[in-house]
Amino acid sequence: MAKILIVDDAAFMRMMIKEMVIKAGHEVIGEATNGLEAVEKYQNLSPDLVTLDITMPEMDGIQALKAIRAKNPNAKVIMCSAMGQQAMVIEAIQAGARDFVVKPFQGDRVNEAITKALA
Amino acid sequence: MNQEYLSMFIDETKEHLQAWSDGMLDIEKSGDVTSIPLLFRAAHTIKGMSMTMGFHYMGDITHHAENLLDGIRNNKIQLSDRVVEALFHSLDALETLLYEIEEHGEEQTDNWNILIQEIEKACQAESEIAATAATVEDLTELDETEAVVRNIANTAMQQGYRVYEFEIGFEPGCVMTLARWAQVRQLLDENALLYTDPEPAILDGTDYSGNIRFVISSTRDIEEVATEIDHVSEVQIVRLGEWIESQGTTMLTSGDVLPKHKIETDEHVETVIRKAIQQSYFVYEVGIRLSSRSQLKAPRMYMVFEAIGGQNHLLFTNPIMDRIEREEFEYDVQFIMWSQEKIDGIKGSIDAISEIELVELREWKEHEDTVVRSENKIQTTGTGKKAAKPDLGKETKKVSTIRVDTDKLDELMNLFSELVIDKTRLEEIRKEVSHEGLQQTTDHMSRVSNQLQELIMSIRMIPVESVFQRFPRMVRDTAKQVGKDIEFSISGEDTELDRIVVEEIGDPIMHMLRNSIDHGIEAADERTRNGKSKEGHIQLRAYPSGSNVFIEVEDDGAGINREKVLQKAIQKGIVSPDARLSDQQVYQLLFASGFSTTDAITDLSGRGVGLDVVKAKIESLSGKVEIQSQLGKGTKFVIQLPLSLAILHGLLVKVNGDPYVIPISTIAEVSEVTSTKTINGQKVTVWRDKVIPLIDVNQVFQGPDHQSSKVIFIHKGDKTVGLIVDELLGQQEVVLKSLDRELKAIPYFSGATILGDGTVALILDTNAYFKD
Repeated sequence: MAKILIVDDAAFMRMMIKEMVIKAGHEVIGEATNGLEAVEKYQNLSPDLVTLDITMPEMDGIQALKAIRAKNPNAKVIMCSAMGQQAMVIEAIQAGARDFVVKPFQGDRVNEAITKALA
Repeated sequence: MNQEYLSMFIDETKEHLQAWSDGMLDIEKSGDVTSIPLLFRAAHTIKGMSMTMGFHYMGDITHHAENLLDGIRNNKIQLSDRVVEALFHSLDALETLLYEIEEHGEEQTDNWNILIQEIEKACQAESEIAATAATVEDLTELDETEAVVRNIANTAMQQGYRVYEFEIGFEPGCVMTLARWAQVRQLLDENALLYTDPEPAILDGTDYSGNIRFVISSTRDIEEVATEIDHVSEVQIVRLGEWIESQGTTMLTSGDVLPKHKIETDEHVETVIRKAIQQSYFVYEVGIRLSSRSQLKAPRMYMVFEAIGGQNHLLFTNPIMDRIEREEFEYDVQFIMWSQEKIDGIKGSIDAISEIELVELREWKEHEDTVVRSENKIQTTGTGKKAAKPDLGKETKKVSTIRVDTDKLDELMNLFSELVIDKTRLEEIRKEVSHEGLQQTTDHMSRVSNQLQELIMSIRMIPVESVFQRFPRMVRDTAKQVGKDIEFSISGEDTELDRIVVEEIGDPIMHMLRNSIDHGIEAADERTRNGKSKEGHIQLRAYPSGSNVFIEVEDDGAGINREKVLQKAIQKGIVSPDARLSDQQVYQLLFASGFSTTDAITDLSGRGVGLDVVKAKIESLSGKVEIQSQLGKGTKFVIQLPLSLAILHGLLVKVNGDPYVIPISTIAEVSEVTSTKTINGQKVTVWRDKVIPLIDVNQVFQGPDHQSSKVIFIHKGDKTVGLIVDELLGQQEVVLKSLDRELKAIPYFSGATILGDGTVALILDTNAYFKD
């Protein structure tokens, strides 16, 4: 069981991911609705893993990823992307994201990504 | 799909559509594109959510709109009228679909091709997407490629690197193959990538989903690299091998050491394996590939067997032990072994031996009657598993809001209303029975129920903003349609009203706005002729007053022509020609069914359907609507709505023997008034240094003349009047029951209630006692 921080500006998406994550036996220790909040919560909560939406207000997922990785170079982050954001996903991977999942999410894909990222 | 998700989806999508709509209006008004990223985000989120919910039309439309917004954001697309219209149309389409989803649970309209084409056309400025899939090369070219790779491999090997070749494929359904490829590349050492097929330009493009063959140089073992690549989601290694020097030519070796499925053994071996597992030993399948540089293969294997604990740990080998000892094998050896050590430990021991190129381990597990190997090959050491215990001491922040089904709130309110009636009844009983405990209990109960009521009320109250925010768009569209220039402003959108009222009030307000746009505001040339500004002004405002909320729609248009209305009414036989009507009565004629004064019937209003519906709707919400107008200056519609529909605090009074309730919230003071004067036939008194008119409620109800000095001062805005009543009975909470249609026509009452003893009391609508 890992401690997971879920970041997405849409409550709906957070709920979806949360359900999947909890079903897989992990613990959601926090949720954030934008990049700034994500960075802040990362520091406060020290999650084992972060699921990070790319398109968000205040600070987008890529900037948040960079900020988080700057604070902890070993931070495990999985990007959540929508179709058509490949360029952004590539940028995120180059910035150190462990993996990514594409909306619409499938539970097993999300879990696979989490398991692999935690390994 | 889960109902809970659906309502959440609908709510959130609505919010985003609203943001989209607001942003579009800003853009159109000021050409300000700073909100484009916001719109993009809104579109993006809607896309993600609707795709997840399986609403493909919504997803598809937003996807296209998002592309358009992205283009604008990146300055690839000019913000032309066509683009703006396309975005508005997308918005309309999404609203339609969302409505369908809300009403029917699914998307119903399915013909969106025209819209999509429209968006695509608007998009056309965007550069064409680069090449898609790689073309099949012909054979001669392939041979050349082979030679190229060989050269590259040779050079790298001369520099002391090992050279590996991989071919990877993507799982079906992988949507971002190139991002997966980026993940693979991320794993490789810098500059390690020597060659790719297809060429890098295609892989740096936007779309490619075939297999990728690539050659890398590395200082690490192929197994290590392969494990990492295999670890990338949705990526499969189709083929791998190392380029090695062999008799002067560089050639590719290939294959995993372990077979895809378990090592073929015989029944005897399987029995032994089962026994070992039953005795709680671990059983592993191991594949070893010795390095091609290895000179003494048998001693090397001997070292391996020693490392795992000795030959007596072996259950099976392939080739058989004799041949291993005689070095009668190429580079690969497979064996099955038992151990008390964990798989990582075994792996570590073998890894310590040099001249071994590849080690693969798999664990066997007992499964019912047969023994099968576990699904996953374990190829790496030290996964560094961490016990993730929940940190109980840590404070977790709770979610600050929850969404509740509104039916539950209504139910709560209903139940509470019942409770209030019982409470009132209990208070009555308390008066009859003298019992200290009962008194304390009822007092406490009243306090708690007051708090409870406030709480429930506040839960039910929502700002009118949620309905108001859709009007700017509607006014814009309507004004455009009739060719009028209208400046629309909103104030007091944070005024709160009961949720039910807010939900219902949208349509009436829309009707009134349309009426103002269509009838109220004059055409531009007429306005200039009358010395008014070219653009018309419409204001929508809301404000609370006492236990009511007022919503006003005011325009600076032509105003209502009293004579014209009257004539029309006489013509239609609604009033008799000799009737003497006040302005207000004349204006109320506009609300009569089938009434219209405009000469031309437009699309929008003027068909005589509208204002009567408005009135009916507002009355069904226990509200009232009134018109104020000045010819040539403008018209104001005033809607008065009760703050809450259900429970109110009232002062119980007696007039002519009957009980009435006056809402506490409207009462300024209750006092005995002894000195009164009559000015212009109006009884007045001086209260707080002001002359206040006094109204004898008894006279209003046409009761018999009598004298009373009990006056209740009530206020509406900054106006105050005093109501003369016979008797004060006390303060009480009452449950408001609306009056039926006929009784509603009487202006002085807003409803009725059942008192604790079962008698019915009418609730005064204090606003009716103010004269404008």
